[in-house]
Amino acid sequence: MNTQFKKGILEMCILHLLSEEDLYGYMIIKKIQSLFDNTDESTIYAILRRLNSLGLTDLYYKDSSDGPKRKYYSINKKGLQYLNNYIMNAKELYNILSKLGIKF
Amino acid sequence: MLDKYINKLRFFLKFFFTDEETDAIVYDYKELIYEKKMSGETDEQIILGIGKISENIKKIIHENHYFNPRLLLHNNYFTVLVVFLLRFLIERLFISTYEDYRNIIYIYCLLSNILFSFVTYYLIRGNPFNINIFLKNTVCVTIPYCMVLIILTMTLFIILFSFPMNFIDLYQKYFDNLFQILHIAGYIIGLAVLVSFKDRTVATLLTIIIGGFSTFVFFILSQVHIINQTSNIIFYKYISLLFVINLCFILVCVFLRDKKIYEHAV
Repeated sequence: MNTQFKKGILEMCILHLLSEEDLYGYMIIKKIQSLFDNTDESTIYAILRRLNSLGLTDLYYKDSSDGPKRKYYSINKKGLQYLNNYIMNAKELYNILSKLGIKF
Repeated sequence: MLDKYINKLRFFLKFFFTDEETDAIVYDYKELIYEKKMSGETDEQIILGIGKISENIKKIIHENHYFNPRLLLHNNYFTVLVVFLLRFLIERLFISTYEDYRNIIYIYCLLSNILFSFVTYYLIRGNPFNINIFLKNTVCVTIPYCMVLIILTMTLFIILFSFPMNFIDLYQKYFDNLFQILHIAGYIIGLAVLVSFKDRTVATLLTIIIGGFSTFVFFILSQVHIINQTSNIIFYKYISLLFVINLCFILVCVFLRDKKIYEHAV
């Protein structure tokens, strides 16, 4: 899969996962890696940092049972709007490609 | 083994990222390592899985940037170079344009020393304690700069005390330039100390003291020289002495810093 295209999809997937529940980095990695093979941990962390710097997610730290505090990500209002926009664009793209006769 | 890996990663990240960004990236890597450890992986397996530091750095840069000029600004070594060049160019411009107003220029030097110290502090602030970073900074930055200053100071001393007066008269302008070089060398060392210092606030204060003090004393000496019409040789002796004091100041700073590291390491 094209890297830039994949990054966009990954962003959408991560935001979607966060819209369901708050997650910490490694949990997101595990979920994403089960969907996309060969996805690098650093790629996911970079996306998480980017989403956070764009103000689409919020951060908070939570104690783990036996280790350092875990950095949890939660989606905020702006992030939800961004995700909805993403989904709409994806649907639009799907419709256009379907009209062209491209089967998935 | 993993601590060493993280320290190395942090060291190299700091060349490309701000302190905040570096901390965030390192935190993520620490989390990743911890989770992998919890799932039963050995240190070797974890490092193998994460990959070589150089490859990781390349990946992180690629994934985080796009060219961002802010990064260059946050690079300690780049900042030192820029500050050095700025000071050199501005001072040379002033001195060559206003030869008759040297004293005012030296007042400017005093103020600019203070200003640049603050600017540099804000540009390169914060550097979490890390013995590897300090050792590398000491080896790569502080010691070479100290060596430069020592060599230049010694050269000046040898020239001043070995050659006859007429030689000095003949090359008065040359000495002026040499003084400028020494002045800048002293300032660079101040910055080098600043870059490699653990406590940036203390380092900034020391830089201000070193830079500001040397310029101020030079200004006073130049006034005395003009009022008393003392010979050039005495004047330059004072200047040389000033730089030796300056050098001692810096070496004391370096010593105190290294002592702190040593105590911490022990």
